[in-house]
Amino acid sequence: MKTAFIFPAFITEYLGNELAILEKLSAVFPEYLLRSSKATGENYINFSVNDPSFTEDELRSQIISYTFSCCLADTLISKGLKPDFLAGYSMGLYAALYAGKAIGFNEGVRLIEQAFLISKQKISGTDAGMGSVIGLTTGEIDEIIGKEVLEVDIANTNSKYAHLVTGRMEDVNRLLETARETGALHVSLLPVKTPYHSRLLAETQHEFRQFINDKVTIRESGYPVISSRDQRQFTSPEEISREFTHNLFQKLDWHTTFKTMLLQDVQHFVECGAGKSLYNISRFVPGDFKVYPMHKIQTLIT
Amino acid sequence: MTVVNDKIKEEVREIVCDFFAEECEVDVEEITDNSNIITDLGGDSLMFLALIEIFTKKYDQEIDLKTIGKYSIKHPVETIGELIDMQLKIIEYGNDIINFDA
Repeated sequence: MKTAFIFPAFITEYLGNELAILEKLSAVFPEYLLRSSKATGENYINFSVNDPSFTEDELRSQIISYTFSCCLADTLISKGLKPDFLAGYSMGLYAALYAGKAIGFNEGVRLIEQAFLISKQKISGTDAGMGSVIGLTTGEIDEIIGKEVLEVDIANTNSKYAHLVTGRMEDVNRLLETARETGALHVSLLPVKTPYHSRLLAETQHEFRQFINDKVTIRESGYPVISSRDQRQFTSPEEISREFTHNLFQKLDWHTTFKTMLLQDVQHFVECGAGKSLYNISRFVPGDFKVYPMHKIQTLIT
Repeated sequence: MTVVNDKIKEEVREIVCDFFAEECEVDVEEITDNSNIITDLGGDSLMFLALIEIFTKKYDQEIDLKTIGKYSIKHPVETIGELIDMQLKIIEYGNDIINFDA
């Protein structure tokens, strides 16, 4: 029986008691907030899950999610719980590679900042966003995109009937509207202005690769990582660098990534991060496994 | 078309309440027909999808999700009572729920 550490992207819904849970597991979270503050030059020390300046700002919410994930992964590993595999959902990739000791904490912060800045530059002047569609298949969504000629891509497949879409804001809105009329159970616009995993960001790859080559030291990952793009297993610095650049503008398939880990005999999935978004998505994967969101992790290490 | 009797009604209520109690980590006794799924229980639309899958398997139905989606435009679900009511109609009418306008 194997264990995978899975890392969420930026958190849109906090449980509310994350700080208390971390405090119980380990008292070191303030040190991680301090590290984030030093790495960014911004104040993260006063972080609160109820403070919108942290939770609603796109970049700061990513840094906070990363900080949570790194602290939690370090705490679990120090208590003897070691992963057989790592996998990051979208921007969770950076914390996954930190947990594998392929990058240092500050390098992860710099990568997140740089990915954000380059993405913003590339779409400068374009109103972009992301949305969620529940109740339609990829084929049904692609049909709408084709018929309406929309500059929108499916960003992530969370299950057969749950997807994130990304692209030009006007087109994302049009897609959500048509999807609902077509019979989607639920559609919503996400609080994100960057079209992650969209063709609109394809031009980021050269600049981001250059940044990685010049400024980031990548080491072999101590644990194998499963790509959420193509489900490859990788550990080498070259493959990690490629994953960082392609993760920004290519479609992800978390559903298949999860099933790939099940085929590798993973039965325990530890959600290293705040909230329980990956636990929620895992409901739609058939199989004999258990996902431990943050508030259930204590049962694994006592 | 399935005849929805008292046993099925009771079964559906129990499954819905147990599901939300577990997923939302609240006491099942706290869940009433008037509980708002999002604001009172902290539920989400993925839970709605998961429940539909549970019931289609349990009652061996082949439901086109889009018919439920279209039905829910005219009959939005916000409370546990409304959700139970919709689920009973799905069991009773299957894909013909789309023609049910009352």
